[in-house]
Amino acid sequence: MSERSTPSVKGEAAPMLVLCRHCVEYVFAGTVTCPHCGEDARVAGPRYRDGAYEAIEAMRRIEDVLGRRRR
Amino acid sequence: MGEDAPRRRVSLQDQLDCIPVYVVWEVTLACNLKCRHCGSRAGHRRARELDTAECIDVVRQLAELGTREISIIGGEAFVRKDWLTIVRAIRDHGIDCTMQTGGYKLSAAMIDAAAEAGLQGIGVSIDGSEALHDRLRGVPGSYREALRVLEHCRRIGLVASVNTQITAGVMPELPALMDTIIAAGARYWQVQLTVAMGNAVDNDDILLQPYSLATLMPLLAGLHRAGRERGLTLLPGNNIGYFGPFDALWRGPDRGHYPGCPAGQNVIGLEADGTLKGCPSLATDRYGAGSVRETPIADLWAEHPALQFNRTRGIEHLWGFCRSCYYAEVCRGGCTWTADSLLGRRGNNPYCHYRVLKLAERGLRERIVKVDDAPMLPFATGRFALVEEPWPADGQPA
Repeated sequence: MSERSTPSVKGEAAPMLVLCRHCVEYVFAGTVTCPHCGEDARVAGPRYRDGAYEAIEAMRRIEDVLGRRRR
Repeated sequence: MGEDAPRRRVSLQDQLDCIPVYVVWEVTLACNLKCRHCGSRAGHRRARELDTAECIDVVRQLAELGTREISIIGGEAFVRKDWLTIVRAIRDHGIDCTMQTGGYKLSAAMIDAAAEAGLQGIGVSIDGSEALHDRLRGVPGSYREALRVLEHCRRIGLVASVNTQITAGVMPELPALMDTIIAAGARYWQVQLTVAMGNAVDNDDILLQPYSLATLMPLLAGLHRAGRERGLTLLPGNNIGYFGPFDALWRGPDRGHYPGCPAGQNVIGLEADGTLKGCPSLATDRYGAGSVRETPIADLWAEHPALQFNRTRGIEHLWGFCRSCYYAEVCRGGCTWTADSLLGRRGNNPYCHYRVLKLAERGLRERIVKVDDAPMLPFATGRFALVEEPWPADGQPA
C-alpha cells in the first residue's frame, strides 16, 4: 500500500455536547440552566441515574481525552 | 451491520483528518425493481459504468485513503456479473464489505457465494406490510423475496439488517413489521425518511409531512425500546432526528450524539460511471465532483469544491429555522440530501423533531407542497414549498 494522501483541507470536529442531567437532552458543555427543562443541567435527576448515563458519559470523556492525546 | 459497527464509527481523529471512513458505491444503476420512491430512478444501467479492472483500482485507491467499510448498492448490485469479484477485492484490501439490496431474485446460492467471497452483512429493504411493500417496490412478490433472503442469511450465519423507508402510509404498520423481521432473523433495523428526489417527487403522496414527526418519533422510540428487549437494534438513518427527547436513546450517549452531516468529510458516494460525490444520494448536478476515470480519487477528495462543504463546519449556509436553532453549530441543518433535495438548497431542514416540537409550542406546524417536478434523470430534484400554518387544535402534540 502506498502512502496515504492527506486532504488539503483539514476538517473540523463537531462541538461536543453533554446531557442535561435532569431531562437527558443534549446541551453544550458548561451549561448551567438547561434550555430545555429549565433545571440545573449539572444535577443528576432520576432519569439520568436510572439510565446509567453517568458511567456512560464518563467513558465517553475518557475516550475523548485519549483521542486528543493520540493526535 | 449498521452505524454502530465499530470500524465504521467515525472518531474525532477521522473528522479532523477527513478520512473517508465509509463509502457507499452504486456499482450499477441496473435494477430489477421499480420503486416508487427511488431517488436514482434506477432501472437501466448507466451508459459507461466502470469495468472490472477500474472497480478494482477504485478499491485500491480507497484503501490508500483509509476507507474502512464499503457498502455496495445499485440499482441492484448483484445484477452485475462481476459483483463477487468486487466484493473479493474489497475484502482483500482489508476493507469491510456490506451490501444493500431489495433481495428480489437474490438466490440462496448467490448469498452463499457472497459470504464465501467475504461479504459481511446484507441490508434488505422491507417497507411495510406485503401489500404496501409490493406496491412501493413495483413488483408483486418482492416482499416475500426479501423475507426469504433474511431467513437464508440467518441459516448461514450472515448478519442481516433491514432498511425501511418511512413513507406517509407506513406508520401504523411498523409494529407488525418489527415482529416480522425479528422472526425472520434481522438483528438491525435502520429506518430512513423517504426523500423528495427522483421517483419520490413524481409520487409525492408517499412523502411524510414534516409535522408527522410529532407522531413518528415517539412511535420509533417505543419500537427501539421494545426491539432492544428482543435482540433487535433500531438504528436511526442520517435523516432521522435531530436531538429532542429521543436522541440520547438511539444515538447516545454511549454512541455519541448526532454530529452533523458527514458527507464529504467522512463519507464518499460513488456512482457506477465513476462520478464521485460526498454522499451517494446527493443530486449529481450540484454535488458531482468529477470522475474517478479522469482524476485520482485522492486528488478529487483533496481539492474538488463539491466535496468540501462540510469540512469547516461553518453555519453561514444555514437559513430559515435552522439558522437560529440552539443546535445549529452541531447539527448544521441535518441531512444535506434531505434538505437540499426538498428546497433546492441545504441548510434548512423541516424534517427535524426538535424543530417540530419548538414550532408546536407556538401553535405552528410545517407542511410541504410540490411546486416543480423533477427531470427524468438519476438523482434529479424537483422543488417544494414550505408552508407554515397553525396546528389544528385537536391534533397538536403533547
